[in-house]
Amino acid sequence: MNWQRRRRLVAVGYVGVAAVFILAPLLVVAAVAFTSANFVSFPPTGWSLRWINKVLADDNFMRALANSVLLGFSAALFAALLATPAALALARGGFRGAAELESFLLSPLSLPALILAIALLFYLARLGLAGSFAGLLIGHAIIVLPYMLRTVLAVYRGIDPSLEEAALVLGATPRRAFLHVTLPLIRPGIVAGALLAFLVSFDEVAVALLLSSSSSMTLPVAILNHVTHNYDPAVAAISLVKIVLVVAVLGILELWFGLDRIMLTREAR
Amino acid sequence: MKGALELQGVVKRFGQFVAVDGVSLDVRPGSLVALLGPSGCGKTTLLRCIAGLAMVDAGAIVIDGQDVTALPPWDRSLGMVFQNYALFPHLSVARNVAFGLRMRGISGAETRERVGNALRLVQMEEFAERRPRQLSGGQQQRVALARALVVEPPVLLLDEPLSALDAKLRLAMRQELRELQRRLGITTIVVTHDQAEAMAMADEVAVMRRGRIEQMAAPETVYRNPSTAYVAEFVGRTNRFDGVVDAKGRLVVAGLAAPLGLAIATRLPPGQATIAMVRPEQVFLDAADELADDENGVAGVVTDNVFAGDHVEVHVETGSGRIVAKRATPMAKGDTVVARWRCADTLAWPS
Repeated sequence: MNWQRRRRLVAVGYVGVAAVFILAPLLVVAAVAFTSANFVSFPPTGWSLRWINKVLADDNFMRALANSVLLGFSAALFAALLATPAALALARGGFRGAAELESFLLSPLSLPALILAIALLFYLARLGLAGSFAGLLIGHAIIVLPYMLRTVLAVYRGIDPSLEEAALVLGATPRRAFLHVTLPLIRPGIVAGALLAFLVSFDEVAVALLLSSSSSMTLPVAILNHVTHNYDPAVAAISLVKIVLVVAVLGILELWFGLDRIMLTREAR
Repeated sequence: MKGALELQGVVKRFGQFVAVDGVSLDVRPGSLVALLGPSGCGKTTLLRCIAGLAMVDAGAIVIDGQDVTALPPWDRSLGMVFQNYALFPHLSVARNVAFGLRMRGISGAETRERVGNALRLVQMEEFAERRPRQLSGGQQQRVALARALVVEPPVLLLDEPLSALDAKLRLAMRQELRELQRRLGITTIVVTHDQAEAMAMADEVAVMRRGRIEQMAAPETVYRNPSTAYVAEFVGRTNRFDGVVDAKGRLVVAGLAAPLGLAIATRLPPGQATIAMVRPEQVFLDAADELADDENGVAGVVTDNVFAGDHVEVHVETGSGRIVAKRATPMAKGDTVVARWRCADTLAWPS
């Protein structure tokens, strides 16, 4: 066996072990979701769709799921509208304090979400937004903004400034140069950022736990509530629903754009 | 004839740094002017000022009688080819070329016709539906040129147009660019750091140094009658001697047995510290131990032969340093030789 084949085998083996390590718990959840028993056990004692059907018919879970999806989309949209202009200014601006401003805008990444949640709790109560969807959206927009900013910044910094200049010399006003040249070129960054933003928001617990009320409750909070009161296979079933949804979103994006491009692991186009 | 470009005392500063320091020049319609200089001399900044990508701090830019100094780039209607071509990666070749027309509100049949013509001009019509990424460097440059020309600009600006091409293609494109420019009769400004490129392409070469134009003249004039020592050293190769003029109008150089003759037209006063230069192709070498009394030149020892295909550069160590002579054949290393040249071929400036 030559050294190249051996190297390949080691690489494949390593990736395989890592994949099992990541996927095994999810497979257990998936298996438990289809149990016919009244309690959580692995391997399941019999197979049925009763728990899946139960959570799909559960108003509480479904309302929370709808809240989560709406919240994720809104937070991603908000972040896109706020972070894209910020990224453009930061990448090309070269103004005094640009580096500090960038660090500041990225700081929610390093701030514990629980601390942010507690701060927002006081702040939003003063504004009369405690427990409202709007309050939750503000919290999540803050949390997902850095993901959006980082991806757009990375893409825009990789774009040759002379492309925009070429457009200007060819007669494009700055507005048209942005629409016809800059925007199409940074779109992969915006899509990638929005995807990350949605996934982060969809999975976020701390802020949602403190800021949501019974009407604006998100899916992670609903699952948490359910688990604290009754530990039954419904938890596995609703978790599976959530996993399937996330995988579906990723699948659509893979078909549409190609995930390696969105995640910036491959050069755009 | 359209395409007259005039710069009047153009100044561009970046903070404390003066990138362009009062440049005035007149470009005749239809001519090609090369802005030549080392990196950092302000040539690219000057080109960007003309394009409107850099706004000038003082002075005026006039195109065909219209003062465009205050106009933004999109209102100047110029054509520009960037050093790296700057083709839009998300658009096909045809849509790249059509971009300027689209921004001018031209569409449909006229766009198709003009884009077709422009691509035909640069022999790229078969590649209309390709993406820039799928083209070689030379092909990308042709597309960039078509994109700049399709809007029929009064002035074409080229920023180091050949620097990204390999040596052989560079020579071919240089000729092709020149022929195309003559055929279209379009006023063209080329920025380059390559003196051979500037000489081969330009009607007039503007040699720049520290934000100023040191000399602007036809390539032959710049080469044969450089106005300063800087120009002489930047354009072509030279052998340099630093000395002082004596009472007979000759140059006394430390380390040389005999003074060097200067051209009659030089007319430098005795006692004047002077830089003299002679081109390698004007230096003749002979195997001999000493210079005759009536000859102009220096004695030395051959230290090296650098083969350059059609000629050999012979390096000779003299009392005042190394000089280089261009010859058809090499000379034996270690041989004692005399290097002669005509006084009239000596360039001289006060130092």
